[in-house]
Amino acid sequence: MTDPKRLLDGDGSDLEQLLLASGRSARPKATARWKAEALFLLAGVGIVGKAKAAAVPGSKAYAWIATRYLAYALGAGATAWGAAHVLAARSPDAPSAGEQARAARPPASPRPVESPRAEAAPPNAPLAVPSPERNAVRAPSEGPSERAVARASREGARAVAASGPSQTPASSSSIAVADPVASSSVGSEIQELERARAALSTGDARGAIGALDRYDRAFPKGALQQEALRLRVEALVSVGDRTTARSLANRFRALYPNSPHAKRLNSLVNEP
Amino acid sequence: MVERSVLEPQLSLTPSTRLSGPAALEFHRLFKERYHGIWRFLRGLGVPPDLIDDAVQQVFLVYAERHAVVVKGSEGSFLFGTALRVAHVVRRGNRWETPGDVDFARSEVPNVDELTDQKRARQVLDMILDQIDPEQRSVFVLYEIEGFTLPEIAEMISIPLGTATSRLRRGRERFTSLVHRYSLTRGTKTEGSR
Repeated sequence: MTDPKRLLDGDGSDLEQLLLASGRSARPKATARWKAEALFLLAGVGIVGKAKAAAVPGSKAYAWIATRYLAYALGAGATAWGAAHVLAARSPDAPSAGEQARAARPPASPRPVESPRAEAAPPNAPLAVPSPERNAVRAPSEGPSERAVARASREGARAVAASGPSQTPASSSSIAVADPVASSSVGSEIQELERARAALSTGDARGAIGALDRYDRAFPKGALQQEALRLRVEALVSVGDRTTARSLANRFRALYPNSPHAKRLNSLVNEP
Repeated sequence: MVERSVLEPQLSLTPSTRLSGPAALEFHRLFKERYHGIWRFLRGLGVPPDLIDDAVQQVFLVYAERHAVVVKGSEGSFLFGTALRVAHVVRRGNRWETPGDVDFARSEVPNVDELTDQKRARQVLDMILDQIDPEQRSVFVLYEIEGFTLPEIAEMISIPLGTATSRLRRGRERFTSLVHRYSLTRGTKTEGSR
């Protein structure tokens, strides 16, 4: 039995094709994807992996992670100007990164209909080869920090494109971009929380609590407070302080009732 | 009213969910490759916009939890099959509107001439898809929008190939008749040739 010709491949009327093409061109906001990946990263899911983290030690690994988020933020077509503001926009009072990115771009022309099969290509791959048009837009308004972010993003995109166990630290150019990214707000937040998570995963719960204390002091209005609170509950359970853990878990549920972490925390603090 | 709590994970993120090494790299690869497709599929199934992001996360959480039992090469099928189930959970929790009699004459419905705006076109597409029986809609969206083959779809949602074929046929008939009705109600030009 052969599959019938698809409506979009010419078997439908013009109107049918137009409607289906609009469905096929629907795209999520870059920020939604960014947040999803941050959630998985901090939950220890989908992170670079122990082998990878070991191969890229210390600040280089954090820079690698942070640049990847920049690359994702840019993956939806935001300009470097937008990327610089994505970081700023992580402050709760600031407009969303998506709004910033939209403000930075000219009105989008309709995207060509893409084949679902084509999505295997890394969405941020084009960043590795910035178009002249983008450079032209970017150049006049670039300040030093924006250049650093733009460069970090390109490096991040390259790191993503080259990701794999075979990548060696020597081949990575992330050393050069470590500082600009680490000095950014979200990059630093991720860095501190990643320290806490790494400590927790090696059984060093007190070290994790220390890192979380530093996080709370440094980022009282941090964008990743939900993840910080979750990690703290886990750390408190690890050191046996269930009373505080339970009270914090209750606070977590009150603050973030819809968080995918809420149920896990509930079972964690109530385990015998 | 949408009940967000329906999306609370049915599973918790246990320590075993913490992926490392090759499994983490594989997860990351799949996330990159499939995030957009899963998001679009959930949207095509009618998951409300404010629940889609949570639903996508749920799909990948399920994969993270069960990755060890997913057959190599079938990861995409697993993710889309999971997305279908997650969408059904949302449907149950949401008392989703069942297909009824859509009124294309309502003032907020765009005219055919306005469909060059992708957002408006999607608004009409959503109205039409909402009028297709959920089982037919799943197969229709997977085939016509996501581009899967019928054997892939049959495997994905665990139904015989004949059933998938028949659901696609009926879904297409319904889609075509709804587009025709819409065109008659809001159209200012003919539908074009077949």
